[in-house]
Amino acid sequence: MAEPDLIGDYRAALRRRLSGRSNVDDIVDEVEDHLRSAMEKLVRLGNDPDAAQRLTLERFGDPVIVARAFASGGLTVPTRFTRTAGYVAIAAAIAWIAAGVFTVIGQTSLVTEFSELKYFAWASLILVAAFATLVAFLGLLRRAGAAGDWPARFATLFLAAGVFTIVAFAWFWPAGAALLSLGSLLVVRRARAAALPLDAWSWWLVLAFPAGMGLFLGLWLLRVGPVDEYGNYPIAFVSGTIVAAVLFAAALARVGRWLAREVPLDGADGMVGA
Amino acid sequence: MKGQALKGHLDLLVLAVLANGPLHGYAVIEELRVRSGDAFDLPEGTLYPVLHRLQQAKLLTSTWNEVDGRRRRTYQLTRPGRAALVEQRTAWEEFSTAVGEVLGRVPWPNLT
Repeated sequence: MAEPDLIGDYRAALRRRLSGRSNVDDIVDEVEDHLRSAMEKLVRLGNDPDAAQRLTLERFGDPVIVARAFASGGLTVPTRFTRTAGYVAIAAAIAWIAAGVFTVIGQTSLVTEFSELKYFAWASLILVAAFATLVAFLGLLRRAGAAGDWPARFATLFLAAGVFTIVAFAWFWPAGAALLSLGSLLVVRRARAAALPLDAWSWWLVLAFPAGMGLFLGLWLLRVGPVDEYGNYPIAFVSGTIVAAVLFAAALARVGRWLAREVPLDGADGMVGA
Repeated sequence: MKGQALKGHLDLLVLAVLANGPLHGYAVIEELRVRSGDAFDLPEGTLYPVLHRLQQAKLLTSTWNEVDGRRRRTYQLTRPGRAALVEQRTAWEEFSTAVGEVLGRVPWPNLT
């Protein structure tokens, strides 16, 4: 009667736990080589193959624990890129605040008249903020060891689509913001799965724009404030934009500060902290 | 030694084991086990993320070859890896000496 292939079963179980990683084939190949080498040694020492497999797997550890070790920091290190992404995140936070303030003083009939120049300046600020946010999130994904896996690819797709929508159709920002929020959700979930020490503020990266949109829609439906020449409610627009920008900027700045403070390990004089 | 206590020193230990030459993952872990006299109580599988992290930090490189019909990855220390080993080893020896100095001045408590 053939021996059960417990190592093959372990390989399949670990593969399921690590699915989504771009290097999963390399990981399970390496693990299988380890397990079969260990088992062969135990057999040479006099153990029967079935007992050797069981002892080998016991020493190697439960696939849940091993997969968690991969997810919780084994593959994730701060690098020069992630530190730069931290500085970019702080710059993006400032740009979002500036864009929010400019919305009030340059983009509504509450304070000044509309002009194409002001619109161009406002759209430029949004472009800088959105693009810098994309770079910051790519850094966070890299820090989470997620660069290249499917959730990271989807997150990047949503974030890039959000940036494009905001830049190309500036006044249609809620659609772009929704895409940014969706991308942010994937990024924050991935970072938390990697056990990065993000605090509860990181959820505002996901919730800031929905909160701003909710406020905008609420005030618009309640018809708060004056109506401008286009039939819009500037107070609703300004309030929603400011709330979204401030909450998003605050969360982004906290993430950026954490990324920027970490010592990169890929520098010429860098070393891995024990 | 339990996992949590060991975790902070794994990078140094892995770098030290690889200082003598290239090894594949199983050999690294076997070497750690033998040299420590089975003192380290840690699931072997949790050491692979450490090897991968050190490689990502460019302290190790790895190459693949085929042995007995299986793909095998072999790790080797890089120049920055050697520098990191020297630096971490120096830090550890300073720490160990300082702790030893403190403990050496305190008599063992009489438990009888």
